[in-house]
Amino acid sequence: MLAGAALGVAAAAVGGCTTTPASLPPPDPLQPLLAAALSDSALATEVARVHPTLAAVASALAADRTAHAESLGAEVLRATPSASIPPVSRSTGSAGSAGSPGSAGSPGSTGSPGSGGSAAGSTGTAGSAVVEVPPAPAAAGAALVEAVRAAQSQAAALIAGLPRYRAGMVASVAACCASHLAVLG
Amino acid sequence: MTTPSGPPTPSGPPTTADAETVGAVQRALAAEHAVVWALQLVTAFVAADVATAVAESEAAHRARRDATSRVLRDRGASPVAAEPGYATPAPVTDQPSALALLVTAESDVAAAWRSVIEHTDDAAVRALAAESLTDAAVRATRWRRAAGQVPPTVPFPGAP
Repeated sequence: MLAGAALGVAAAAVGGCTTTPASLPPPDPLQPLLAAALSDSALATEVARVHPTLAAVASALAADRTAHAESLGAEVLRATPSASIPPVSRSTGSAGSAGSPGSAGSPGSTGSPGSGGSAAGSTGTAGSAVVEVPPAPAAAGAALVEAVRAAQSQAAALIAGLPRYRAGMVASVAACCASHLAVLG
Repeated sequence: MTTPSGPPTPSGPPTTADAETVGAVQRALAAEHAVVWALQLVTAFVAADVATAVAESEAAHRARRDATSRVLRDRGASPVAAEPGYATPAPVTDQPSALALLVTAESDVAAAWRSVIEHTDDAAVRALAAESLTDAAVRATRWRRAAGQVPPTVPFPGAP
């Protein structure tokens, strides 16, 4: 019901859509999930790069959260083609543009390579670091746990109010995050 | 809706307005029956540490199965019964094949519950389905880890 109303407003806004802020569509309820998925993906990618002992779990988390961001972003765009979504670049540079702490990073923002072999690390460019990874492995692991726990709660809280298709997708996101919590814990 | 006059055959669609919900929950219940059967089957093929997890999981799925049956009865439906036996995708002869069966069964459960979410607007059913999907995903991850599978997770548990 909520989404139906939102779509109606969005459709009205699309007609005159320009770059003026006044014509921006209303925020999609999936946008916060998309932002979190991107942020988590960037964090996990960096943790995997910095902490070899966490590389396996962090890489798996990065891959799944990237997949979440891709699907959530596609769904946001399907509902509102004019929606503004941050790019899913699979690099550490994309998280900041979603409104998460830290500004959009210059490293890797354009022409960024894929997940492997990127030299755009946070530790080397601390001045504009997008992702801060705790130097101690235990603290880095705790940061991952905190992020994934928040993501699970965030997704689970949305399920009741979403239309069916979206509820299914978001429930799978929550279930995936719970799976990672079990691995990390 | 609570009148006990319904036919005992579970095949006929219920006359309530929410036949779609009931049908989806019946399929989830069938998957819960199957995973309980699988958990019982594998007990003889796994090491002690895994057997402990298997026993925990069986208890949890039995509880979920019973809760699901109650949900169906509350909505005027007769819960589907367990099958006498189930065909396994591959013979179960040792711990790896046992764990593979559990991953399959938990994934089936996850898929069935996600389908419930996509076929109902019943808030209580949706909440049960979301919790059940998460639990199945966590358990599937546990069995994949026990099997040494990398990565042990999937991005969208239960997705078709």
